[in-house]
Amino acid sequence: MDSPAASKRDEVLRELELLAQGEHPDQQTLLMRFMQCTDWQKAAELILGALDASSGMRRGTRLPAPPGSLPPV
Amino acid sequence: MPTGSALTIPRLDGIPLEHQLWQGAQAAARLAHSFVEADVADAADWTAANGNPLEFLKTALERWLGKHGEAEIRKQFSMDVFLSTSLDRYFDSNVTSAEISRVFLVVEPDSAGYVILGPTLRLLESIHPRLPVTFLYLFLGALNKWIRVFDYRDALDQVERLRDWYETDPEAGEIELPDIEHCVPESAKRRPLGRRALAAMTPKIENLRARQLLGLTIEMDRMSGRHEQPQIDDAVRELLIDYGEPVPALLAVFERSDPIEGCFHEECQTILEVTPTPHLIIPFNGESRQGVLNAFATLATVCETLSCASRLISIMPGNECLNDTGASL
Repeated sequence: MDSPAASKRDEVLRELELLAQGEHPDQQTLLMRFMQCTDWQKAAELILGALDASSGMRRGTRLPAPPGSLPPV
Repeated sequence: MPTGSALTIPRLDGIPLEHQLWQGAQAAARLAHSFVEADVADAADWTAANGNPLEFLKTALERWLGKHGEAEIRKQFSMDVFLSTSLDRYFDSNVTSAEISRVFLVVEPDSAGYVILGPTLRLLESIHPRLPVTFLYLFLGALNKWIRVFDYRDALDQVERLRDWYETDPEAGEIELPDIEHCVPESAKRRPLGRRALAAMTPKIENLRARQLLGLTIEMDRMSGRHEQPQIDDAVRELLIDYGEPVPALLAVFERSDPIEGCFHEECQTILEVTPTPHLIIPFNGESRQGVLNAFATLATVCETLSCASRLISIMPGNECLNDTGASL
């Protein structure tokens, strides 16, 4: 039978192996999956950009043109 | 409020309150795996590391150094050991690298230790005229293999360099340079004894202090010789091409405040103007147990040599009350 120290060593080695492969349960949380998935991160960035742009448009105030300037063609 | 016409507030019950993410955790886990396989890391430390392989590696390195004479070494030397996938600590563009087939153990001094050699040389000369130079040869030789010692030879080089500069400068007037040659004792200029002759002579020496000094010197020489200096490849050499000279980890003078010490302080004015080259770089393959074993066998030799040097310095006459703070750069 394995000694407790040897079985602890095997257990840690297994856990490290899972971590190294990105398959550890701690790496399966929503946040971890998000951090590991570049497509997901890009999609989030696009949505954030779109939200920023649309809220900016709604809040924006039109500046009056300087005196003497020509209207846009 | 009727359903269907209201916003639902998401429930956060059961959501973990804390998430941790470590840069390079997967690479660190692979390296930690090799460390455990090589028995350099103790699996019992994994729980305390809270599942963080980087923390686990740090604890492993600290524990390993503690077992290899760290406390003894710290009495005379102030050094750091780094474990890294990169040698560039300041401008690393590759921090996300998952590559651990080339990892570095780097030993770098924080400040220089200090040793006075003169009284030891006089004690040994009273026993045999060739003992002082034999002691110097073995002591400095064993240390210079692993760390940079600033000694009379560095001082001579520095003075020589200055002399060349002044000679080529037509506007330089009369310059008085330190007389290093004059401060090197005659006993240090003789021919050293062979290792066999020294080993045969040492047990017969009646003076206890001299016998202890030479016994530790022989031990230090033997330990230092157990491994060769690690070879660094062209890629690493190229990376270090713009780096400056290594920082000395020990200043060896013949007498307190002698001209060698003056030259050391002169060198300190400029040595950190460029990033210094680490004097000791141990590259290894972090993917393999054997790579880790080999690297730490070399580091063990370094630690044992430094630990022995530390014990030796503490019994060298004239050094008993020194080295509380070292010679700061």
